[in-house]
Amino acid sequence: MSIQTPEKSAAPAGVWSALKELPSNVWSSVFRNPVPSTDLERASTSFTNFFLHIHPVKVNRNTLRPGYTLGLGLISLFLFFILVATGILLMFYYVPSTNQAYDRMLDLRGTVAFGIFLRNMHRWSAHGMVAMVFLHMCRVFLTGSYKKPREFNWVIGVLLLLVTLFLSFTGYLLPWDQLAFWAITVGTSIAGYAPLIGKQMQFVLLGDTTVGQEALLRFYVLHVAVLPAVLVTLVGVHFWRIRKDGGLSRPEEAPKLKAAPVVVKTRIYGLQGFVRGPFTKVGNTPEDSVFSWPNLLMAELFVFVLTVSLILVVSLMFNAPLEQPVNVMHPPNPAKAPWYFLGLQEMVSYSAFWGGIGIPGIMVALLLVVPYIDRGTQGVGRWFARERLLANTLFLTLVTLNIIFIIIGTFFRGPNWSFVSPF
Amino acid sequence: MRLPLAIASFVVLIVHGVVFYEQFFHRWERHQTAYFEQARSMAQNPAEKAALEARSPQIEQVIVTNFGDTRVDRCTTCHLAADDPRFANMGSPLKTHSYSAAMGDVFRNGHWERRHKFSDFGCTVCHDGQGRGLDNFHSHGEDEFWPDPLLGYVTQTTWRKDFAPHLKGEEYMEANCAQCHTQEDFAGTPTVNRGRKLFYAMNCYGCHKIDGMSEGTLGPDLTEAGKRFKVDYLWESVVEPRAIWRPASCPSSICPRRMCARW
Amino acid sequence: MAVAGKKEDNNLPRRRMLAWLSSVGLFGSAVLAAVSDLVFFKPRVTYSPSARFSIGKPDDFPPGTRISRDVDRVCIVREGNRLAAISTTCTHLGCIVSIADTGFSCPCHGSRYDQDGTVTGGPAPKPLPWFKVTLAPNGEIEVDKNTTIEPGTYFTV
Repeated sequence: MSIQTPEKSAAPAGVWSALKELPSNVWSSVFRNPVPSTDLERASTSFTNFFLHIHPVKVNRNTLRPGYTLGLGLISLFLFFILVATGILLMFYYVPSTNQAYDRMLDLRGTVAFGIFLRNMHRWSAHGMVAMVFLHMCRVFLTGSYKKPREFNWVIGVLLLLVTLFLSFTGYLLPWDQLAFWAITVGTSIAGYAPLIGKQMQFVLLGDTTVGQEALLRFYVLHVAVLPAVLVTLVGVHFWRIRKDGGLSRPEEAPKLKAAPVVVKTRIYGLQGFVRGPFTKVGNTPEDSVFSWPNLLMAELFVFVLTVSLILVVSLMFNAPLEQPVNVMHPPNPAKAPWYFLGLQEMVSYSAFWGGIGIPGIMVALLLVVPYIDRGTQGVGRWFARERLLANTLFLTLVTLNIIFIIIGTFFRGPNWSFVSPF
Repeated sequence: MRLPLAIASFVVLIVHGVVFYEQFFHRWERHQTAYFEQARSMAQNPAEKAALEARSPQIEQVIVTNFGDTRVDRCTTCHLAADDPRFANMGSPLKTHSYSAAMGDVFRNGHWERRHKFSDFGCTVCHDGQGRGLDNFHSHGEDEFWPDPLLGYVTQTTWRKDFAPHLKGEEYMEANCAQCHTQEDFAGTPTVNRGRKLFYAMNCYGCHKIDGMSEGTLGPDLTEAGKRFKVDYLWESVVEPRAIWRPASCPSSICPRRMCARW
Repeated sequence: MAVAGKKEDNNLPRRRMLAWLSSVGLFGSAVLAAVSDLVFFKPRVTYSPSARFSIGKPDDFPPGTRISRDVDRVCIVREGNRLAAISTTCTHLGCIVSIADTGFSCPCHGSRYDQDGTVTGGPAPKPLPWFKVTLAPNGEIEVDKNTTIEPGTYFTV
């Protein structure tokens, strides 16, 4: 048993004071630094916090101008977060079996608490994300922000666009209703038109010759595991490159600051003194840059709140569609692909190969290669810069054509893909 | 460190190669190529020969949903000649499945017509075994964890050795015929009919319940016992009931072995 | 662990050889793994009905009839003593075509075909394929959807 020692009375007192200090000790072990109140503390948030070290210490004022980026990239990212959160929740009740999928959708709509709401949020965020990444791409192009040194980040962006489209496409099948089944039947038939390997590719994608249980399972795995992992990885690289390429693009500074990458201050902080290339400090003099904490963080939070509110309102007002259960004997007339592929389907109705493989392939190839073809350095960081009239006009023409085709496919095509009036 | 790394890299390469190789050159492919060769020699015209020449081994399966579940029977992957009447005198596995009037087959216009078509019935609904397997051990149900070994053909290693000789015989398959052909005194299932009569004659009905036949409560309910237990367990229950359950009031001499052997 | 700074670190040929061996081993494994993945993703069986299937005896198809089997997506045509199996999957985007007076018509995008499956209208790019018809050893007619034949080639019963 206990030996009587002089410390006997001190030991319980030590434990007691430890217990009393527990809350503040726990807090300070997690949050090692106080909430910033000095510039030094504001600067150090970007080094000392795991989540905040995605930010640079300071950002250029231009980056925070709403009229410059319209926050489109951020909106896309936050929509992705909403999709992941709602998607994971939906996974607790959904079963990727041709026998059960549709019934599970009915249960999600009817009995699961918040089920109908979560599904709506998922659906509308998905459509929103496809639209937003597309608009984000337009913004980046029209401000010339794909130019050196941001070429590779643009390429990553194009890949992200394709992954987003594929994510939306694979998710589209999962409700296993007539809308889903025939949209994907039409969409995957297009893959079969690729020369030489088309049929093989279609077989591997579907796991069978027609859309069925194998396709449902493969699309499910792609949708919930493979593609999100790819997307997250690419998004990580995308953000990394934003930092390393010198932050978001901005209008050119006065010439003197474009001189050699020199250290602006006399003290060198770690590696920054030795790193070459676009320096985050270049153009970020105290006059035109602000601390990330709290300015960038507040701007991001604002965009987040806006995005979430909009999705919540839309999800309250509009229900995601759920049509009849799959009936392989009854193709609807017409059978339409998801809206973002309707432009493709319209083109396919003129020529299967050129509309489905040829032209989209050329468009993607052009997108990928544009920063390496257009090497001019003028007009970066401004919308519709006159120096980039040609590039912007070409781009907008193609974009408008695509939108027109989508509109035709949506509103002006009826049974047997004949022209109908929507009025 | 470089030498161990180089050795390990080579080991990993070889292991990858072995793993890759094992996924090809299966035994069923050899059976199929043997069938193609034999059928080519039997071919009656060049078109038939050419068609056989063009064929390469592939997994054959019949998907049967008529019986309330989904059965995938891949037996014809090895037993490719099951429906080819020209292979009646060959050895297994390339042997034609037998025809008999007892199974409802009809001899018409010089050849047999099968009543129980494989495309409608598959194989396992009559023969048991594991339809999805592609090697002998699994597809014949020799795996002790598979509840339905090939009825009347296969005994599993965990079964008592002294029972094994008694558990082989084609008449065991009548149990599966009786799944659909439930009428008493159905001509195709004489052993089952005798079994029904024995159930009453030996007074089993007094203790055992079988739906539609008896209401006994002393012993376990035997409705669909054939589906629930393997044939060695059923044999033991009849021949040595005390082996399973000491206090069984089913007398151990209820069915002396010589009687069972005779029946 | 062997330390790099030993007297053998001047033995460059040995080092290069070992580095080469390791690279071959690791790169080869990576290639094998990648090829294995491709083999993995291509299914060896599908759970849909087999592409080669029996349609019954010749007598099940009286002369002069056209019988569409929707489940198999094929239309069996018998003229006199000759049989043909024409695909009923529209070559445009995969919908099931229905039998029409003039041949076949597709409800999805308006493709039209004549009796032999040749395109007469609509966006279909190719005619309806004809499948190989054979007589199985057990006397039944077999259609093989994995093999297409020249349209107009009939199988004589």
